[in-house]
Amino acid sequence: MKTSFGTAALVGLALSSAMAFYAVSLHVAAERSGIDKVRAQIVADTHDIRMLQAELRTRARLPELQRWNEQVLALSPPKPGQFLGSPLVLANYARPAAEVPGVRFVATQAAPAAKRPVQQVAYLETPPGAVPAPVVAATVAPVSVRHAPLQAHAPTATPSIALDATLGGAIDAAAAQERGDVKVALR
Amino acid sequence: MTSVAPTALLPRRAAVTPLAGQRQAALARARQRLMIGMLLFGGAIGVIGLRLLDLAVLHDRPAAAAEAFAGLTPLRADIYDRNRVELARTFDAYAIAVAPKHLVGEPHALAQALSAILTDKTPAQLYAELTHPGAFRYLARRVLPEQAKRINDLGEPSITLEREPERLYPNLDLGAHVLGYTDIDGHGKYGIERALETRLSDKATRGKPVFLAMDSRVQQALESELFAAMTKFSAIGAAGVVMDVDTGEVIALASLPSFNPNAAGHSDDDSRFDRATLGVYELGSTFKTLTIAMALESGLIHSMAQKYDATQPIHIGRFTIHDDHGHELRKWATVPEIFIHSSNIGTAHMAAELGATRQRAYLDQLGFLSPVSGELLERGHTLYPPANNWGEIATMTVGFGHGIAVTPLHLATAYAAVVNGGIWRPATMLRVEPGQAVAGKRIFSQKTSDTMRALLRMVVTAGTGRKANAEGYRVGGKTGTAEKQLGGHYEKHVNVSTFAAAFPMDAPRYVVIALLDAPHGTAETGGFSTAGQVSAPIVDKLVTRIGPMLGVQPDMTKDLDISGMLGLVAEPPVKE
Repeated sequence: MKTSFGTAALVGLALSSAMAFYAVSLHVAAERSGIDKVRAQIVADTHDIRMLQAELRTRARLPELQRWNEQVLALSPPKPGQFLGSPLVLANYARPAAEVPGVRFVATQAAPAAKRPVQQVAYLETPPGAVPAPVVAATVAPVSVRHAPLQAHAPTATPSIALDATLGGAIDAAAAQERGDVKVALR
Repeated sequence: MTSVAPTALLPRRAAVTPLAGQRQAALARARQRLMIGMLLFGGAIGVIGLRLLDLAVLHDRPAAAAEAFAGLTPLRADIYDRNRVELARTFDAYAIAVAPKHLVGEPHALAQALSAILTDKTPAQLYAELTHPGAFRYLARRVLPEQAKRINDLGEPSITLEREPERLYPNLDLGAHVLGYTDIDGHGKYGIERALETRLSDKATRGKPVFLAMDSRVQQALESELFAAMTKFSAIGAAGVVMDVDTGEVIALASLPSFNPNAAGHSDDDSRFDRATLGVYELGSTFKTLTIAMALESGLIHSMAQKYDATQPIHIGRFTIHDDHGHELRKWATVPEIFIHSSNIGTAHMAAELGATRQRAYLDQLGFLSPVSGELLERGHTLYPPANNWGEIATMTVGFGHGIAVTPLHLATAYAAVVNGGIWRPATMLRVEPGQAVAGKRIFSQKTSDTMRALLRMVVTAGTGRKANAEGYRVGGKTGTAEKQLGGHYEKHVNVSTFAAAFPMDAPRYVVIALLDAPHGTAETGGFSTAGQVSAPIVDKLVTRIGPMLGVQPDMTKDLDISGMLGLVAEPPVKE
């Protein structure tokens, strides 16, 4: 009786151990399967990212950007005078006019403001603490400003960004052509 | 009876005793066998257990997972420009094949259905493939995954899908001659793709991308300006190079007409021909820079005020060397005068004084007598007189760039050596990390280089290259107009017009070569197709565009001091 109980206990122990190990094994297998799925997803996502990067590069390829610039934006390289020699020069551009001691900017009244698209200003300088100098009106010549026409080919020296009603159509046409180009490129 | 009984029993007793011994022995044997069996069984279990432990603990992850990550490594390495802009990438694509003999569906209907998916194929073409007598036919190659899925959904068992790599060049024809292309099986056939085939396709190295020296923005600007000039002057081709003078890196290299490497098979031979590394040209007066540098380095020119006889043409043998019409000096001229007026006569005298041996040695050191340096395998063999026929006439003509034909890239490396302080370095298409440039070899002294920089700047400020004077960028350079050889003789009105430049000349960083092949003059150029008229403006526009990209700031307050040399020039030239 004692021997039978001992044998049964051993069998039970062995079975329960086997079940426990099997459960652990199943859990490990499930975890591994999950990791493999994540790995496969990483590979697929990486592939998709590469594809999207290539598509983005194809759509934004430099010859295409230049075509857009020539047909719509008409930007041109900066001239030597547009480069600033030091940060101080840049800071000078951003200095608020009101904070300049002894300097006042005054709009002249030589012509009705509504008729003048550009207002010219007079520059008056007074030493700190001194009595403000009388305001002198500068002679104003009427100045008209007009937008540069859209450039068909070569960029002009004058940058102009024309955002008018025809732009939407131009964008659609260019995008349609671009889609055709991409198709050819990917093939 | 009683005496018999014991005798009768004796053999019986004798029989029982050995039986008991046998049983004992058998029992012992059985126990022994059982023990051995148990030991074997236990040993087997132990071995399996140890093996499981080994697999679980000591070994790497399962092969399936490793293979899954292997998908992250492209079948062919990516190619980037120096700023990590994608130039070439490989993707998974499909080849669609058919076994016509095992076709199940009706071929007409199948051809129609396939044509709707493979839009570049007609139903007739597909029908011909489906009914071909052969055992295996490709219907299409490099098909996108979504197209492959749609074809698979047709359910035709004789149609099979095979995975294959597809090489994509997102910028289309930008830098096509440098990048090159692969064949349908993914092997490099041209350009860097061919030159670095092993590096790009080897399993050990393909995981890391290749970085070119090319700056795609500069490449775009170069191709754009060359194309504009080529169109304007109705040239049959153009070539250009932008090179870093201190490292030999080729920042841009263009040859026009170009081709789309995504469909290289659809381009013609002329488009695939690389005029910058494969084409050899007589580059004319651009060689005068080298001749004067050689004469300075050899100590033949002691002073810029030294004069050479340019009073009249040189008659030697059956040849006459004369200056171009409109540029005749007709006097003893100083070195700056000879250079900025581009006098063939004066330069020929200098070359003759230098001598064939020294001239040949210098040209050899500058790489002109060998195929051009760089990784590309599309390299033309230069043409020059054989050593036993390099006499005085050859020395004179080579001195001003005739009788020797080299590639534009040759000229770029030589000009880099002239302006960078005198060190010649081979050209390279690959990005060079800071401080990793090859040491190079000294050809000219710093003093010679400094003098040449001033002379080159003079050509642009007061000589034949004034149309290259990009405002604020201190450009220096030399024009070179050579008549083109067609059918073994020189064509009077067909030129190869080259402008070789460097900027900024106070501290040169880049060499620029612009070449137009057979340009035609326009009303704007007075009908002239000389380099000063057609090629110099390319450099002006190009430098203005690429200067800011390359970190060169224009400065109107800074320039080389060439006032001393200007004093040696009697009068500025009239024509460019």
